[in-house]
Amino acid sequence: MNDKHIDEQIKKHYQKKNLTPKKLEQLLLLAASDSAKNNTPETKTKKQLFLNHSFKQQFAIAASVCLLILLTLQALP
Amino acid sequence: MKKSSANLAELLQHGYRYALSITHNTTQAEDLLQDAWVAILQADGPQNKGYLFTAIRNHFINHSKRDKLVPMVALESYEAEQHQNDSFFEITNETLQQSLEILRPVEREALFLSAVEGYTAEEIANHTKQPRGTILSLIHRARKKVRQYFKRDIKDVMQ
Repeated sequence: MNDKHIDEQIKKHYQKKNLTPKKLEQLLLLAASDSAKNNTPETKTKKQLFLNHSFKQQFAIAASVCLLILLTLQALP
Repeated sequence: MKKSSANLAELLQHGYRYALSITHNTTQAEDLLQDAWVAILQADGPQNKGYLFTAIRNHFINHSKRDKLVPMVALESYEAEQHQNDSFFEITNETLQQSLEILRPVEREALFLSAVEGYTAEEIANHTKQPRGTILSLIHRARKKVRQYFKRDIKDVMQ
């Protein structure tokens, strides 16, 4: 029994192995629908959300935060 | 790149066989394939054999690390299959199934990629990120183990 013979037998063996029709259908449906993509969790951090804004918007947000901190500090006794 | 349903079904069958070659367990192979498939769809990755095989392999390694199940030796429920037109010296499905069970997952994987998928040692080395010499050695050892198992089986039958 040579290597070629072993390879042929192994090939035959694995070619008989197939996914069950039910499972195959399930995976194909998953590919067809966008359910898998829709299930992707939102992974954006606060930093990423901030950086997505334009420079003007970033400046406005930063200024607002600073003003809020100053007003809070001023209000303290 | 969108593929037709028939092409996707064929791709999934290849993926399943590859997962089966690593896990040697039908349930685990199905789970592994599903995890890899969902990951590809979520990442909007290319739906091709190379990408799917890599995803399956990475998922298997992750699962093994997480579950500390590195040596996968789970027994697969053997389905009685017909042995028709097999000559006496033809390897029976049962013998082959048992001989594949004694192989290490890496040996089974290398043998599967070489014998079933027809990849060269160089291609398998690129896929598994191992040296070509290691792959050749794994394939050689795997074939040797199968041959030895088969010889032992014939001796048992003769006695």
